[in-house]
Amino acid sequence: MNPSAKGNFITRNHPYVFLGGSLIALLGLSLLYGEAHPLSFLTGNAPELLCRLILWAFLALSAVALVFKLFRGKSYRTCFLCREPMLTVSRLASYLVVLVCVLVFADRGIMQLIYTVQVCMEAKSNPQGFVPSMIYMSLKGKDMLLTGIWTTVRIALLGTAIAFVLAILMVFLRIQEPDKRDNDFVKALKWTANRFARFYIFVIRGTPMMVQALIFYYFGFNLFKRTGMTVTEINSVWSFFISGLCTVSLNSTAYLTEVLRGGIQAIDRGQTEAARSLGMSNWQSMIKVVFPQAVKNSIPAIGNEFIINIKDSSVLSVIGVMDLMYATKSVSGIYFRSLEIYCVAALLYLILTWLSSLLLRYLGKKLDTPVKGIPSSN
Amino acid sequence: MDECVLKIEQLEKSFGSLEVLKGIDLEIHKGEVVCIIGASGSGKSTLLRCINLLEEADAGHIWFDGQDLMDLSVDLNALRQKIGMVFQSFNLFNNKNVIDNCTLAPMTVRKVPRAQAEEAAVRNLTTVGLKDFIYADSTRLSGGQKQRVAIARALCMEPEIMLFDEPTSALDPEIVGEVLDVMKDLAAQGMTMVVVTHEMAFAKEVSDRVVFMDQGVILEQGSPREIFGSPKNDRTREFLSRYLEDKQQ
Ligand SMILES: Nc1ncnc2c1ncn2[C@@H]1O[C@H](COP(=O)(O)OP(=O)(O)OP(=O)(O)O)[C@@H](O)[C@H]1O
Ligand SMILES: [Mg+2]
Repeated sequence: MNPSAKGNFITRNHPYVFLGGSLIALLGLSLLYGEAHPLSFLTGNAPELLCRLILWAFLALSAVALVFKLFRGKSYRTCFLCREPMLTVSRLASYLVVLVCVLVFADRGIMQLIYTVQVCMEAKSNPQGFVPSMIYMSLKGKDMLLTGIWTTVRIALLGTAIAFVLAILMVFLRIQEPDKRDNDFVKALKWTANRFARFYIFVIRGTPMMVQALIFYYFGFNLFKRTGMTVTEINSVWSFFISGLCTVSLNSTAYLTEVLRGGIQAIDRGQTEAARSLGMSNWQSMIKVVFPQAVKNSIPAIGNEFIINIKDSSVLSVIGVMDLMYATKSVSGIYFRSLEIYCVAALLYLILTWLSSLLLRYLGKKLDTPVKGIPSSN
Repeated sequence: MDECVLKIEQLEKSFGSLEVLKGIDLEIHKGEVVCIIGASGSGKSTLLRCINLLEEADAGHIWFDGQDLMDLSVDLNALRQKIGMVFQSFNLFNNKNVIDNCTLAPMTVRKVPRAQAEEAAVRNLTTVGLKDFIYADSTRLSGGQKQRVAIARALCMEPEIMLFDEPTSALDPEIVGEVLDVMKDLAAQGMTMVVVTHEMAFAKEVSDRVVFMDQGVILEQGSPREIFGSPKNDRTREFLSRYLEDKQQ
């Protein structure tokens, strides 16, 4: 029987049953021969032995199949292993293997993790093992990390939103080109607007955000100091959070301006020409026809900027913004372990960006715009 | 002779070193239907685009409504309202549905109240036979329907003259007719029209005058009978005979 015949994945015979099944069986066995733990339910002779037996038996069967394949070459397809009832038997056997492995994973994987968490919760000091230490520090530093996550999300979200509004203004400056029919004043104005936007984008894109953060922070700080405020007063107005938010907003403005400009350029020239031919001014055709289309097409890129901001806002910890990065550093300082907690931070960032991209994909589908994966940094 | 709506004098246009229009003189009278024919690359589209300043000509005059469009101080937007343009690629506003395509310009440019603009839009859409598509998404229409919406959209600005740049070239042969029929109706109602076209049958049947352009100059113009029946210029004869051969193949 042809292995790719009708039926769904479960009821159908498929090729590579032995290869796939034995890989899964090997994984299961490696877990099964690992150390048992007090919460384990697959202990004692009966269940554990039975599981091992089933997995080994399947491996043995696969080995036989392998030998057959090697010796019979092309004619393997016609031997008893590739005919009914062996086809169905091997398929059902592979399901049994999967079932056993799921059990083993629940026992040695999930229950093990639960046990480790329990141990860590009661531990008096940072445990030695890598994973236990990760869990221990995450649990102890839970409040700090959660506050950090919340700050990171707020900065990324607000920053991108503010940047979007500013970028809409900025892109209007950026796309100004003096026209032959303008008077000299308008020409000068357009030229200035265009050069200003270009210069802004040039500077922001050409410098690291960490440096920008430091400059904004101290610039604001010195400015408020001039007015005679005390340091505590300044810190309440020009807080780390506020200056960090400004940094992200102003930084993203430059990138989003370029995104929007690209969106505008991608709109067919015929759209503007049709609008102009009906007597609409340059401004009217921009606002009513080109811009709505450009923004809609830019939505995926704006979402990407949000994800980039989740990651890149980590540099704000340099000015003391208590984001996830800052929280991680603090936890590491308290418990004297670095690698473990930074791995936790990586995991948390990954979860944040992954969830965001899922959300964006969902929104993109609703709005009927194309989407991309997790973007690289600016 | 009727009053002259549009008068072009010695119009010249180059793209870089490529001279596309080499001194065009052309008069369009009120109610007249003028078809411009000629080989590809002869500058027909450029001429049409220069008339409403989508391209800026280098030299010459375009007299319309008592003003020279080449004068840098004219109010272009005001004058363009009176010159309707229909493009080969339709250029419907993709972010608007059919009726909003038609009402956008009257409402933003002439500040017509919405109700009145919609009434005019419905009337013009009915004229082009699209009464049932008023609220359709403009990106989902067939080519012929799109082009008819484009014509209705231009009509909503109540233009004094309509320019058509190969309005049927992007259409499947079966639906060319529906657009040409709309244009015939327009012509019958006395609209002044300048039509760049490769539809010789249409030019023969509908136009009052046929203009033959070749390499940036107007080589010959006259009634359709003169141009198609007894062309004086060798180039015209060559073009038309080649055209007929193509048609027969
Ligand atoms: N924006 C432009 N930049 C440079 N060259 C151009 C531009 N527009 C048109 N041309 C050139 O000008 C010449 C005339 O073009 P035009 O579109 O007016 O010809 P046409 O008579 O309309 O031809 P067709 O029948 O193919 O539409 C062509 O050689 C074309 O390549
Ligand atoms: Mg053309």
